[in-house]
Amino acid sequence: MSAAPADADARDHVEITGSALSLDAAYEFVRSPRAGAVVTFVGTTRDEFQGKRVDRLEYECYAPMALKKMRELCGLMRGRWEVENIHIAHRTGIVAVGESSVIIAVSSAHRVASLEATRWCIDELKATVPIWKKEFFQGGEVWRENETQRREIRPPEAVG
Amino acid sequence: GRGGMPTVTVLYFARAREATGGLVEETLDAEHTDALRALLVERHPELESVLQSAVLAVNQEYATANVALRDRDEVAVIPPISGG
Repeated sequence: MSAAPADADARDHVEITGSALSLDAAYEFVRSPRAGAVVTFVGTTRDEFQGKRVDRLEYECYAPMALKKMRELCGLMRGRWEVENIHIAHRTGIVAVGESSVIIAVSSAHRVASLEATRWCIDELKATVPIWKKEFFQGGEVWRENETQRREIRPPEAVG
Repeated sequence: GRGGMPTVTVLYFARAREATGGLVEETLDAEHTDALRALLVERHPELESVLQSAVLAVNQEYATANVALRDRDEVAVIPPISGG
């Protein structure tokens, strides 16, 4: 699901999908003749958490609100950094060990913008976007809770 | 809604959905989110502990305090999130 409202910026692509994520697709979307840098972040399922062997993660999402929040993240990134294109994709359903759950790709003329914007984006996504993961490990299952939970996206700090 | 009270759609996610026995959505009458929370616990007692750490979202915006509800609002019960 990724249908954009009429006033959405065409340089932003946000997506929630039950299919495997494609790093190639993210890169192809953001790369640009105007960009000297492309930064990608991929979140993947680890095989261990607090000493337990993890079998898989299962993701669930409040899709309309998650997409809305992801578009807000794009807008705030553009307000703070000179970025060209932004691609945010999150997977739902089963994500096995080693597979990707989230891909963020950002391009910019100069590397500082996309490096800083990408880091900010994944931090804020984890703190504010309504997505949940249930961890299945040896001996049980548990709903994980991210360390930082915010009810409002915290905008990136203004340039000094 | 009946008697002038707003009729809203309530959505349950993750731990909240498990606490309702798998119910993902229902339609209820409530004036504001505090009243709705009380009503949810009445209908689904197992939701009480989930609601202590859950945030409500009204029409896809987090409700940071008690929010007045209107007819056809969409209210989501959002337990602590874990995206990424």
